[in-house]
Amino acid sequence: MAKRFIITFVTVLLFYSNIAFANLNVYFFYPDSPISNLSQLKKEVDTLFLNANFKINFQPFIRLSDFKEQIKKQNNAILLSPEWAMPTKGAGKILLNGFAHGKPTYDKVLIIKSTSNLTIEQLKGKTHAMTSMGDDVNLFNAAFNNKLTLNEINVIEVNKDVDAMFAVALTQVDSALVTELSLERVKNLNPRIIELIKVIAKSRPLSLPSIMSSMENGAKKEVKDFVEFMKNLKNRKQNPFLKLLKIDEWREVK
Amino acid sequence: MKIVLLLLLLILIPVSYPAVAAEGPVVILLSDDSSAYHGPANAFKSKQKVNTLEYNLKGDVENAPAVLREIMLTKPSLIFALGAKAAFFSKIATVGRLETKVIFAMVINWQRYNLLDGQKNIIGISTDIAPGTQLFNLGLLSNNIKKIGVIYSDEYSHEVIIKAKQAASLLGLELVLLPIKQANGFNQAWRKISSSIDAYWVLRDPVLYTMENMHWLIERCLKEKVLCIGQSDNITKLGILLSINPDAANIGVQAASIAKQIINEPTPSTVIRDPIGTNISININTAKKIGLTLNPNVLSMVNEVIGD
Repeated sequence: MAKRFIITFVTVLLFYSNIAFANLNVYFFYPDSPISNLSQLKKEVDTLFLNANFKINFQPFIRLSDFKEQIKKQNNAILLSPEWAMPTKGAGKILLNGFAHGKPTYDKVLIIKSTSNLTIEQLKGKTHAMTSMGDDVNLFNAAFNNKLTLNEINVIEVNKDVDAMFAVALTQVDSALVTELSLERVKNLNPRIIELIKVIAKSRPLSLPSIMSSMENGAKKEVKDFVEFMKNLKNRKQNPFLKLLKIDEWREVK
Repeated sequence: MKIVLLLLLLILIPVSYPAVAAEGPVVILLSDDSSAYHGPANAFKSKQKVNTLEYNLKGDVENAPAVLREIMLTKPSLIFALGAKAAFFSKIATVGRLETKVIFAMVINWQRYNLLDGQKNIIGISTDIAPGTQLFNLGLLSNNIKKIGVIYSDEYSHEVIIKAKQAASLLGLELVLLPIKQANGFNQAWRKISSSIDAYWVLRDPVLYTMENMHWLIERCLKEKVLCIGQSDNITKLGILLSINPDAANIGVQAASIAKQIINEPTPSTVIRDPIGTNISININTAKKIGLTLNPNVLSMVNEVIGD
């Protein structure tokens, strides 16, 4: 009898503590994130929100499939990801856009081995490494004005740009698509590696992560507070979004 | 063990299958319930647009012929075999059935099983990251590394050393190589090279890769302040500075990409591929102890930071 009472008591306690301490679920997915160490990102984001007395459950995802699966399971959340990774069915609306250097976009470049003479058109039928660009082939195809399309190449998805870069330098793949930021960082760390590859095309600008809410109406106040907090982040010293994701600020969508 | 496997081979081969082009499902075959296979299997499945069936040998070699017979009756176009048992039985089951392609992965020391011999429908993803990828990652840690020590056995690491030499020349690195024949020659070999190297690369060579040698090595790396890198996050936890391992789930993604490529090809062009996705661990306590200042950009590129 006493055992049953304790179990019921603990269950009720856990249920209410969950409501009290995890008001907002924030799911994060950004395959071109400059940081691969998602535990560090989580730690710093958790600290940021904790210091601001915000009750946030921040959950980063490495793979798009896991991100989508989680949204399917628990769609009552704030999503922090590029727009193309967000669900379209029954989705909420975009609240904020990430900006870096005054732009809501970033660029990616197509690289091949420095000794190779392949042109973008000649990459058809070749093997290509890149981070995820989602299931919609149009994003990739449009990035290169249909000069090269996803159906024409054999893609190996990787989780980090450096893996794609090294695969090109070591002739494990014929080409790769990486961010300009990753290229710059590797150049600063070891210019010799960059000498082994060359850029043959630059993509059209791709959108930086946005913030979308799929929360029910009942959580309107929490979402509003969250949006206000994110908008004012640029004034904070310890801002993991700037430090780790290189996103200068979050601006409202007009 | 060999006799048992040969008997199983004899049981499997006489099964006759209709000689038609394989247009059937894609099959994932797991050797057992090991959690190591879940990541690659799920990642592979998430990339398939066709019907995928999953089978599990549950570690039971005696029941394997029956499982394979059931699989082959579905006329699979491709089998993604995870682990040595799944790879071995998939090879046997596709003797004379080359239209069914086999991709194996997560097979430690895959060379021991002769998986690629005598059949042209099989392709594998190695469990070891390419030497070039190891050296390139080392190159990101510090620009001042010029000489890298490697102790190896010619018996097990001959191929690795050839590839490592090619990769080192790309980066202008010099490999200080010392072959040994027995595990107990490791300490003496280290003493010969340690004063002339900037970094040391630990190979997963069975001749030298013993618990005793690794514990001794970690102590020497710290004491002599040598930047040591390995291929297992376990030894990074024990004190080796950096390790570069294959990203297990990414092997599934890579296999899916290979599958798309080879499913309609008569014979695959490269039979063993290097895993491209990496999982990097760094021990920052070791970095402090050996006096290495880590660039914040390096820290953001690694997947796991061990230490305070």
